[in-house]
Amino acid sequence: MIIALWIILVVVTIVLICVYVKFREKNILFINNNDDKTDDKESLQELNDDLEQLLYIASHDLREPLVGVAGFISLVLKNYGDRLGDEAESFLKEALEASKLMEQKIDDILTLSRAGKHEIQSDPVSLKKAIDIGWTSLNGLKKEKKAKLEITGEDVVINSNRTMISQVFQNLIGNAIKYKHPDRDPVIKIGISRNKDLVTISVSDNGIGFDPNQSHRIFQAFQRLHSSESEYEGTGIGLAIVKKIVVKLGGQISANSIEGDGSTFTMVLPSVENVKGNPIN
Amino acid sequence: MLKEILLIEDSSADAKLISIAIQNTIPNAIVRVANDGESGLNEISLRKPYLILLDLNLPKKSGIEILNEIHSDPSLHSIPVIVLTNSTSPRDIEAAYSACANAYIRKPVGFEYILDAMSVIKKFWFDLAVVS
Repeated sequence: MIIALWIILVVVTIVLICVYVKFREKNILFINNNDDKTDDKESLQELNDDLEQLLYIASHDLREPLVGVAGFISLVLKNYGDRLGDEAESFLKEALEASKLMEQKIDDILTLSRAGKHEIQSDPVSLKKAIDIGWTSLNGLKKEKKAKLEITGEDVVINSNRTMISQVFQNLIGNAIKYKHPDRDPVIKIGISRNKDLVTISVSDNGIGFDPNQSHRIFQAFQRLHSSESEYEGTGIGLAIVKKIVVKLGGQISANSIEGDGSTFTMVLPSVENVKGNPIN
Repeated sequence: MLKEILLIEDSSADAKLISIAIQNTIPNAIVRVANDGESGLNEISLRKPYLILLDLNLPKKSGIEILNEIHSDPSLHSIPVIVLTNSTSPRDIEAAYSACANAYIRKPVGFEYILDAMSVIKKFWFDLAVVS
């Protein structure tokens, strides 16, 4: 009897030890798995930070020689333009235009790299004020192309970053003017409507529009939906900046168009009461 | 009377362009160029220029170090310093103004814009502002 009890005790002890060892293994595995996930997340974040830093430094250093290139070309044109033949003068003007487009591209890459980099400082921002800042910054372009802006809807004050939100309007309105229809002056209509915690902003234009089948490409950096040989010159980064900022501000953006008949960009942003959330799903 | 502008700039191309723009827009100024931070600081102590145009990214001594040294020296700290650089990094702008830069200008791309910038500097620092 005692021997039988001892045997049972030994068996139970062995089973308990086995269960404990198995449990411990599983636990260790679980902890390790968690560590792996954390490591992956951290290394991804580091990689992302490195990439953005690299982008920032590269674009910064690329601008430096451009000051000399564009500076000397325009100096030659200014001081010796009348002594150059027409052809030589037009070649230099082309070179100057190209270097200015390069400056714009570098600036856009800088903005793009910064858009995701910094923590957002949020303050109450009047949407109409932000639209006005974006509109005013396009002074030269809007006068040259005789653009008009119409705003409908009540102003909404959202808790956001004024510089970033103004940049969004500057890029969207700038695009609407740049991609104007050859037969009509550009008219940009911005509608603001608020629904509880969210504000919907639509930016519509009467420009050339784009192929709706290509709408998935429109917010990708360096994607251009019009040929670079066409009269529509751009960097292909402006809308990528818009999307990055809108997502960073916790919102969403989409684009629609009827080709030849204008485009509409619709943003949904969190308003005052719902500000520090993740992107709207 | 001629007033001296000290341009501290390591890029010889940029230094040449800016010097030509100054000659075109500020007739009563002469430009002296220092092409690294250390020689720039020596020139400042030695010549006490009327105005300093300072790049930030310089060999031997950075623009921010130069600003700090000017600010901490009572014989130099009333000289106006205009930062003229490629950087628009918020960190650089903040550091320059914290070190008492009088203005922060991004180097313009295109000679006509450099001329514009120098005309504005002339109007403010040579015609309007009183500098000791």
